[in-house]
Amino acid sequence: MTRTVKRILIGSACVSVVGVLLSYVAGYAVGHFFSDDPEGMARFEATVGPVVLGVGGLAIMGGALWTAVAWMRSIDEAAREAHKSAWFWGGLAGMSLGGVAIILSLLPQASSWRLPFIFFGRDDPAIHAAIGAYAMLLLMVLGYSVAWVWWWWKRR
Amino acid sequence: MNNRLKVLRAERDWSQAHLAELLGVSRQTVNALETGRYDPSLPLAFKIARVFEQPIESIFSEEESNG
Repeated sequence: MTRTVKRILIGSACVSVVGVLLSYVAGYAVGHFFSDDPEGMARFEATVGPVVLGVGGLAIMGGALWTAVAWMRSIDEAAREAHKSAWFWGGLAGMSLGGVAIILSLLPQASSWRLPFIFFGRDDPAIHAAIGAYAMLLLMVLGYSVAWVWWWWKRR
Repeated sequence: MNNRLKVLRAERDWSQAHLAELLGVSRQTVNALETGRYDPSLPLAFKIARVFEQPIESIFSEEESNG
């Protein structure tokens, strides 16, 4: 592992830890501030909540993108080739599996299917869409992981 | 593509890790190159030639490796 790669990994880990700590402190502060004011809390959730989550989401995804770019630039050409190949073949395989689920969802009886688990106790269209996106992402990442290991295994 | 990387490295008594450091790649990449299972890009091939002080064509040949 080169020094640049180590620096990127350590830097990303530090930023993530600081981000989690700041979120915890912010959550605690909001809870403390509105502890005696449920209406104020509801107003806060309705107005500031979406902005905080939106900006936070953008920051997290922007940071993840920056890390990925820095990572790809720091590794050598064979490692880069492994990632590209793994994302294409593994991602494609995972997407194909997810595609079958999408086609199956067109069945009339699919309307009565219920998900075995629900995020944060919610059962609404937004969370169902998110679970669908997560499932597709998970399948693609699984396919990517298998293809990446296979690429290096063949060249060991 | 076939190559003489392993022979050239052995002649100099270099480890894969040392060659990897000279080339600015990982040891796994050097291993993949030596086994002929990964063909380097043109810039890396030139770098390899520079490190071994030999022309590219004396290190890499078109014939397929039997290994």
